[in-house]
Amino acid sequence: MTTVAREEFTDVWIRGWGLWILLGMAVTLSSVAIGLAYTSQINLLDAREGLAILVRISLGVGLLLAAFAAADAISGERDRSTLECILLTPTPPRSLVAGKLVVAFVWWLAAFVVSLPYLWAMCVGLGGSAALVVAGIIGALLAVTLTAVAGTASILSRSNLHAFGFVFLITGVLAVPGLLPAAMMRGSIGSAVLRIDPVAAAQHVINTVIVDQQPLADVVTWMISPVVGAVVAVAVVARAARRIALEPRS
Amino acid sequence: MTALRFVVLFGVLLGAALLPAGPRVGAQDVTVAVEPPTADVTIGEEGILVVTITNHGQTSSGPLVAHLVVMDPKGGGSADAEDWTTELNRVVDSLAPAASHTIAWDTKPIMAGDYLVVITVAPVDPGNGSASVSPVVRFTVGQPSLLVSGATIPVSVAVPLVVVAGAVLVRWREQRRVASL
Repeated sequence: MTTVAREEFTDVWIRGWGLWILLGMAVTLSSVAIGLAYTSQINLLDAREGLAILVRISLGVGLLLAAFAAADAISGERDRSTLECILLTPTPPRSLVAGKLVVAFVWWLAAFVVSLPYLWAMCVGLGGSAALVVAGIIGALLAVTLTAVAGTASILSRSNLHAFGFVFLITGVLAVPGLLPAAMMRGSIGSAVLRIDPVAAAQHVINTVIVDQQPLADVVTWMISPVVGAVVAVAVVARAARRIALEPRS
Repeated sequence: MTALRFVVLFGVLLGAALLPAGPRVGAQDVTVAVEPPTADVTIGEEGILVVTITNHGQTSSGPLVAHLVVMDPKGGGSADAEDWTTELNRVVDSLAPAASHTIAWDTKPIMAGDYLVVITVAPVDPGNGSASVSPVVRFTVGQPSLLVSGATIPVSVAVPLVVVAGAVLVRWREQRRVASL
């Protein structure tokens, strides 16, 4: 796993476009931060709501980068016709997948590190260290979940197009309940969906801790689905990675 | 005798005709309660005033109209209630005796300061009594903690520059390493 991870890391972050993509993210975050700060007098955006917006954007970008990197892990090698060569190496399939997914997870980690100064700048005067803690915990759990789900899709997909399409679909499905108006999700079914969906539960935690200033202990039950989601997703990808087919049937 | 009966009957009918069609309660029999009694909010923060209109009269109240009034006790600032709420007037259907109607009145103050807010309820039909007024709700409207951090601009400029510097340094070291092979 270490050898695969090292090679992947070098390909992405030293020889590849990793740092330049990160630069794009930094420029985006700069624009959003300046926009939020200097229009708040006009739109009366409360500081905590602005901070929550920045946390969501930084998490969202990092998670998408990690998910699409994971989706490219195996099906990308199939598309480039390099999977056969990789499978001929003595590396066990699970180590191969684990190495690639660890580097995919690094995408989220790098995005989070880049976003930390912005979050700190927004936290000035708000005593918002809880925002950084929440962003870190929630982001890590969701990154593990999405990376593992995308990795599974990549193993089972015939091409990158299928894997990317699946990741796009699953990300949308998970994100939608948290974006619906609160009035629509007020019933018992809506509330259950919000608790079961890891992304929606994460959004609830961000709102409660950052905007409503409630202690993290008050929303600890909302962390169950992100934790369970991460554990289940890792178990599924570990099972799927036992054997990597050169040409999967589905 | 017949003529006397006719006169009495005519008098009864005339008296009945002169009476109002149905005695209705005046709005003075209508009370207006409002919760909460005080509100400490920031500019742009949405709040809900729960207004309960009750008919304490013996007969129906007739249609009523409720109106939000915002007053600046200092008299200097603008306190235009139209800026505070999406619906300045709310029409209430006739209330039966002892019946109540509750309105959730959304408010969103637009200027900082101390304000007095009352709800007046007046009868729509003419000759149906005077207006009723709710207790005063004392609003204290503060400035929100806006996102004006002195660190935003330096961070927004510095982070992309650091990432560029890192990317250039990594690329330069890699090129040197490849060249030395």
